[in-house]
Amino acid sequence: MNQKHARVGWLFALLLVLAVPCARAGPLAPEVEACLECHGNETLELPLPSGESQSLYVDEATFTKSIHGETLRCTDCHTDIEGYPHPERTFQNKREFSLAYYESCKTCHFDQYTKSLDGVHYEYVSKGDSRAPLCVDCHGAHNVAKPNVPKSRISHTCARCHPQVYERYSHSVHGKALLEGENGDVPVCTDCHRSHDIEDPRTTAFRLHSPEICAGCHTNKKIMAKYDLSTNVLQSYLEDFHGVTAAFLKEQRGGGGRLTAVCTDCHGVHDILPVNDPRSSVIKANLVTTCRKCHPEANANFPAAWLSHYEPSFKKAPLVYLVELFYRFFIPFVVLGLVLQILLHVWRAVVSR
Amino acid sequence: MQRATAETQRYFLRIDLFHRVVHGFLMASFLGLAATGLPIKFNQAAWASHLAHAVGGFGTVIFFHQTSAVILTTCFLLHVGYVLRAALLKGQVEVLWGPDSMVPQPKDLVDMARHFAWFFGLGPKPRFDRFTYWEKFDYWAVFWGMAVIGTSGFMLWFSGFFARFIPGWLFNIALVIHSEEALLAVCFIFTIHFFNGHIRPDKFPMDLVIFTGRVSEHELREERPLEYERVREGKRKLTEMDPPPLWLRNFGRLIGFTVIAIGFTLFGLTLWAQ
Repeated sequence: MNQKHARVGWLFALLLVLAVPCARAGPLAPEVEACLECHGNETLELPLPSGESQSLYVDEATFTKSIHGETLRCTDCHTDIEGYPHPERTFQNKREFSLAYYESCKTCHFDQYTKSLDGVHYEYVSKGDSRAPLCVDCHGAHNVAKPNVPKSRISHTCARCHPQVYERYSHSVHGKALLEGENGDVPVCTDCHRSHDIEDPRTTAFRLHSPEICAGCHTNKKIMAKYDLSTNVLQSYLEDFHGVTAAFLKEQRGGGGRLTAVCTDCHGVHDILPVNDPRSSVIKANLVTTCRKCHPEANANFPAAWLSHYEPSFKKAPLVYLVELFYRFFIPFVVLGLVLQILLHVWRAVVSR
Repeated sequence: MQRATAETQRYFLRIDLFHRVVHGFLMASFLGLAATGLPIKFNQAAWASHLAHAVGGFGTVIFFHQTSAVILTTCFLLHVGYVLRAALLKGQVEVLWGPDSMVPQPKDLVDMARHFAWFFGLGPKPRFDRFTYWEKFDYWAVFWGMAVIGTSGFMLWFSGFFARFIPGWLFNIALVIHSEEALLAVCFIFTIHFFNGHIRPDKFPMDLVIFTGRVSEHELREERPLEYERVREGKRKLTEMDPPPLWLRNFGRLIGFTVIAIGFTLFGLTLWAQ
């Protein structure tokens, strides 16, 4: 670092601390001050060959308030800069500029970086898709803050690139609770899709293990009790046609395409509605339409073959329950009775010999 | 002693080729249905997915289950057709009632009571006719099983079609019945029916009649004295046969023991999954 600049920076810092003591949480590192001498200028820009212009302005207050404000100096991330004049760098466009600093984050956040290499966003980044986000596209650069404070911030972040999904989500039972009441129980995007190692949700493998995602919350007694929801939904699904098929398909290569229904096929994905909403896809009035998505021949009788996640009992589906009960006694009775007949027969034959 | 005279004895045809062939298809398709149905019933057991995997995946399991179902249904219809043809077209009313019928007779109840009395040493061994009471039970158990499991199975297979005529809740019952009745069939065939064919007194290790179709005069006289008397008195005609050749007996043993091995394996897996 240039000594002279540093000294000037020191003085500048002192001056600022005295002048605006309440403007920030902690004192800026002297080197930061030095950089801000130039980069604190709002008009500082770098024209790029693409015709875009990369602003080089860093708002001091923004950086100070950011989560890195107290801990990092400019050169911790901008490792290629050691002093002034800066080494010459050429960028064709703004994306190249971001990519140049993309790997800075991994110096400290190595685990998140490694996870992101398994994610669908990185898959597109590595293919050169300039729309796929880098760290800073979600987290910000100089203004990095806790991504989940408040929780809805996560969904708003994703919404910047996925506005249609956000739109559907915001009207769903989960989205409404989050956006209208900051409900901490409902899932935001990353609860289902994860944050760094985001899996491509369009694959069959994702489809077939998606019930585990829903089950994460929907088998949690503590959360479900608050909303009077059953925690038996996963087990009853797994025991039924669809679930049995899904369990088999999950094990095999290829997964058999859309051979069976998972939670989202009936309940919806981002647009899941509460069952007291007349538009819900799983209430009786709309169920046959939902069945027809996969069973085009289904008529009004068809949905009644579905026990709505209920276990057969005296109250719910008593006939099914009674038939089950009958066989529970009938099978051992018949088999043991006949085995007894055979054993007696053998015993008599042996005795009379 | 029986063996020493085996080559010199007279033999009678007890099960003709038609019934032996139908039984062969019945046996093969039943094993196919059990081997592909059990992994679906006990899908949460580890062996179920391995078995499904070994067969070629879920789609293949379903394919073999349905193929076997079609074969078994054909066997069922062939048999019903045979009985109807005999009774209605050929005028053989004895298939519907009497000692040559599979229909339970009052004598069967008496036989059963006397048989149990004999087990406890309380009387002489009852004298059986052409079909014993436990053979009739075997027959009707399988008949009933095929009708019930078959009907419910086709309902589930063509659920969209059947939903046009029947209420939806019936499918839930059909599913339970199909699965439980099939479990009963597996338990029955792989224990009772096997025991009857193998460890029944004088028959150990295997009664080969279902493969050779022939019984010796000695066997007939010992096991079915009333039928034997009817034959001697000329009231019942039985075709006289050569003794079963060695290759046929060995063929029967090979098939028989293979089926037993498969059956006991499947039955073991069923017990394990309980």
